[in-house]
Amino acid sequence: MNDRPLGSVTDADLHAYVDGELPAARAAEIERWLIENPADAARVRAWRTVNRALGTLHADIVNQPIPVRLNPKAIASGRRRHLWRMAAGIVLFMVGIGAGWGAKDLVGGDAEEQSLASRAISAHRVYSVEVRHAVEVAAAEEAHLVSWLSKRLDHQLRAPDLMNAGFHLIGGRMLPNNGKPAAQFMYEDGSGRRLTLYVARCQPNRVTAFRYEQQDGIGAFYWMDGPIAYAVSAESGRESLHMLANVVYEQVER
Amino acid sequence: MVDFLSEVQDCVPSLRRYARVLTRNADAADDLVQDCLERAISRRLLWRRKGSLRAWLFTIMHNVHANQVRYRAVRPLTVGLDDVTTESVTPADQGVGLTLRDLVVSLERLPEEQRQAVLLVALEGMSYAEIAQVTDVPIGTVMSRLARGREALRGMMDGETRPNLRRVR
Repeated sequence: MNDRPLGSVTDADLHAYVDGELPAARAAEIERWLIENPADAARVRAWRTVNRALGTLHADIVNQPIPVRLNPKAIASGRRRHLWRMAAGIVLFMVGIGAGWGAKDLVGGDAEEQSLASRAISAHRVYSVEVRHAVEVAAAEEAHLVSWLSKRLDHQLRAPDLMNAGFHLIGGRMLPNNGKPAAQFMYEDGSGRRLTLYVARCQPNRVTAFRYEQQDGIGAFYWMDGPIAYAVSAESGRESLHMLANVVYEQVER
Repeated sequence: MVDFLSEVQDCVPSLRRYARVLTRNADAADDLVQDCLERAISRRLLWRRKGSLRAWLFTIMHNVHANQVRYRAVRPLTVGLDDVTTESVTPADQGVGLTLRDLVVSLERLPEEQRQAVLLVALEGMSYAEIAQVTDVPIGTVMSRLARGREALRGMMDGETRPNLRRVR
């Protein structure tokens, strides 16, 4: 150890060598050093192993589709929408004060979101366990199902195609929603797992981000894009449900 | 503007992954990335084409994360250890799997700033200069954090318990 030329190779040099931070000439000197100093060579190898192993951590994420909430374009347009809504909210609020009524119906209402999630989950719970009568109109009559529910909700709906995510449409039904109609589309995957998409009318200018709610094992991602609110429910983990909700979102938002 | 957003988008996969390893929780990671992107997009006028966009985004994420860690320091962690240890290990063939698990556990024992330096090199292949920008410290500090962190990981993986021998220049 003592025959090492003083100041020739430091730990900092070795790390910089491993990380490719050294000029070629210096790197070549380090390589020669390592041949003569097996202990250092072993450490260098170990650091490389550490780097390589860490490099495999969650490497799969890099190839996964980007969730909508992390899409920069969606975030940028959401901000514009948000700013516009804030401005609109302020104007309405001032008009409201002037006219003697508040604008809270248009800018508030977390209760509305909560009840949306609860109704969607409850409908999922009731109908997804049905084997023979899970739906009112089967997927064989999809066009009829969609036009019927669109007419009752007074909004052009569509049943998203979730085949790429492994779910096929089995049909749908109409549901009561505080005296108004709501729609439920039901899907099933190869293992018989069910997913439902709940669609209801909401206040015309409510736009919310994705929200998540879980009740007794059934999770739901829901959002409002006034005048229509959506909830995707399934008995599944939050992450995979989020992925499915993204697929639905992309299709229902044109 | 469109170019900016496309360039940001190109960085999202690596931001997600780094956040995932850093926070050890999928939801917390995406929340962190979302906060980072919202901040970046709202401050895009501050982005001047000096240095890489990636380093700028990582800088923002680093700051958001540092704030969260500081905030959490006075409150109990909401993520249980069970979540962390079971899901952090990428499935792999047995031998490697064990090593990775050890490594993840060891990684958690490192001080935050060493862990960041080690991860920015291993996951992102960042240069020391970029890491200095991201973590807002001089390059010399980056090098010593990296050296200490990586050497500690090596020691823990070897089952080494005695303090690392330090070479005097």
